[in-house]
Amino acid sequence: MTNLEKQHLIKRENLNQAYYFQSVLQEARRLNLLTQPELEKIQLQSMQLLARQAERYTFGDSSSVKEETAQNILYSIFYTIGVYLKSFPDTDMTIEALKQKPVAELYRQGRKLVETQTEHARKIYNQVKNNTIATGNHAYNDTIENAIPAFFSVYDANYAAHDTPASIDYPVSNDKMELSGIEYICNYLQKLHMENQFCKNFTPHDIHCLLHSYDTHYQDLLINIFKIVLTNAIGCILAGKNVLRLNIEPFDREYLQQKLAPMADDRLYTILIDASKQLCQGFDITDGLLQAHITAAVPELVPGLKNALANNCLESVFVSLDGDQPQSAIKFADGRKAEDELFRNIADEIRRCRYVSDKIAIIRREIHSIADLVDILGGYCLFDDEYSQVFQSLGDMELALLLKKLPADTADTDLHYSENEKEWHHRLSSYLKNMEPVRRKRLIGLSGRIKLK
Amino acid sequence: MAVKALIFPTAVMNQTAISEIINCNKITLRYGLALSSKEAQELVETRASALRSFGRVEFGAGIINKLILKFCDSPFLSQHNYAETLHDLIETFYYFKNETLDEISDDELLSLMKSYFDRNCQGSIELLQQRELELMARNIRYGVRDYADLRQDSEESVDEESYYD
Repeated sequence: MTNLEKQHLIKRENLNQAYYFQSVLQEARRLNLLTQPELEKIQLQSMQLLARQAERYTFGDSSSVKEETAQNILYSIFYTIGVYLKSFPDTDMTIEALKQKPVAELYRQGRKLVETQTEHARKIYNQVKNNTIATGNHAYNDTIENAIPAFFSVYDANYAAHDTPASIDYPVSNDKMELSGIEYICNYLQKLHMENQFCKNFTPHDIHCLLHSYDTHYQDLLINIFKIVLTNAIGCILAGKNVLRLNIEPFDREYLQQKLAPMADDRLYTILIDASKQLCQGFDITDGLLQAHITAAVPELVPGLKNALANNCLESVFVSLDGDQPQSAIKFADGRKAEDELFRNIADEIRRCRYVSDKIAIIRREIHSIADLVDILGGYCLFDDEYSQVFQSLGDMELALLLKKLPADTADTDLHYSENEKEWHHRLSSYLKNMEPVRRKRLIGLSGRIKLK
Repeated sequence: MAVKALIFPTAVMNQTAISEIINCNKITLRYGLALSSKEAQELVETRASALRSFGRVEFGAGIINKLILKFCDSPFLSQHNYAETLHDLIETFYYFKNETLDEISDDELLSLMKSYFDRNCQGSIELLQQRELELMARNIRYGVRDYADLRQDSEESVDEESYYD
């Protein structure tokens, strides 16, 4: 009986986080903590506040506004009051504030908090920006470089505080999607910052190798880098390996399969939690929030791991790093593109050739940039088997560069490419398929290392 | 929770609007115009139904008294068509608030309505609604700088049919 805790009539977990003010009112009325006249007083004051805000919105020029506008302003008011009400340590105090303070005062306090949170979010954003993971993942980079600054420049705390005007593509672990407005951004940035901090324990090269092994086109995927890194790190701990390399070999997976497969769900969960704690100790992570974030990510791992164990396909959870993953990238600067007129003449000349050997000779003589070569391939200059003969005449570097130009995802190529472009994509793919496996592997590796300037 | 879900004390608001309308009689009587309580009540109802049908929300007493004071000196209003014209003007006002995309203020719209009503339309509500204000609203939507100038030969006036040609 030492841990006596005060019981509150309204449970905070029963309240809707997005519509906090409304759900507090609803619960309070249901439990008779607010009388009907008190509720009506709050409603009347809300309407008066709405009228005042609408007048400010129109600069006093218009006595009426569109319904959607009024609704938005009202949601904004409720959201702002909700932000203030959430700041109370318990719901009893929230009810007390609702009874004691006029709605305009609740709004004013909420508005101050929204301002404070916006400032706080800006600070975290600066930290995030200075602490990014060097990765090629587009969603990650685009969210940090473009989406978040765009949010700060268009966020309207006066009339649309509840709105989240940002296209945030990069998913963080345990994303609180039920939040909106500045609360969401604050929460998102905090998590992103913590995930960056965690990932900083590993070298960008190791993270790149891991992600590349996870999927060769990881740059285009909407993946949570932290989760993939954490999963393999936990896997390393369970397999008794060096965590820093993040590598789990096939025989490690066999060991893990034998070790984990017989375990029940709760035992598996405990093992993973213990491993995550060990990980925190190993990296000397003392930040309570980061520890909690890591622990919170563990339950998400359990179903996938359980499934993989049942189907004996642990490689889908614990990834092996590609052995021949390049250590360094090759920076490629393309040659100068031919002038339009000159290029047209070359293309016409190629089209006029009867023999493919002549076409190859012209290409070798006149084409000096990969962009021009791609244009020739997709420019109705070559037909049928001529493609494979041209490919044969190219060196490894040229082929690797062309390989890089192939669309990553073949599913939506119909939309973006012309028939002739699709033709050369298809011809190059089949040329590669028929190629000697060793050379093909070398070409794919080379293509992965090339970085276009 | 939608805006309408809030309990609007409409009865209180309507009463304020009615008494403000009746108060206008003190001024409009100089022009031989007056409204009874019943007529004032009907005007408030027209306002409510216009707001509803045009998807707008209004706070406070609204524009009825402003409209009355603006139009009371019109030579085309007399006691026999006074209330009826006001009903039409209220509906016209809210309709064109939407049509002008809320780009112009209440006062400006009222002034333009009055000016067109007295001059170009010679007191015809139909001409006001379907010719003058329609053209003015179109000018605003198409970004014509001098949108209030409705002369057909005006350089900037827009012919909607040829706009996309």
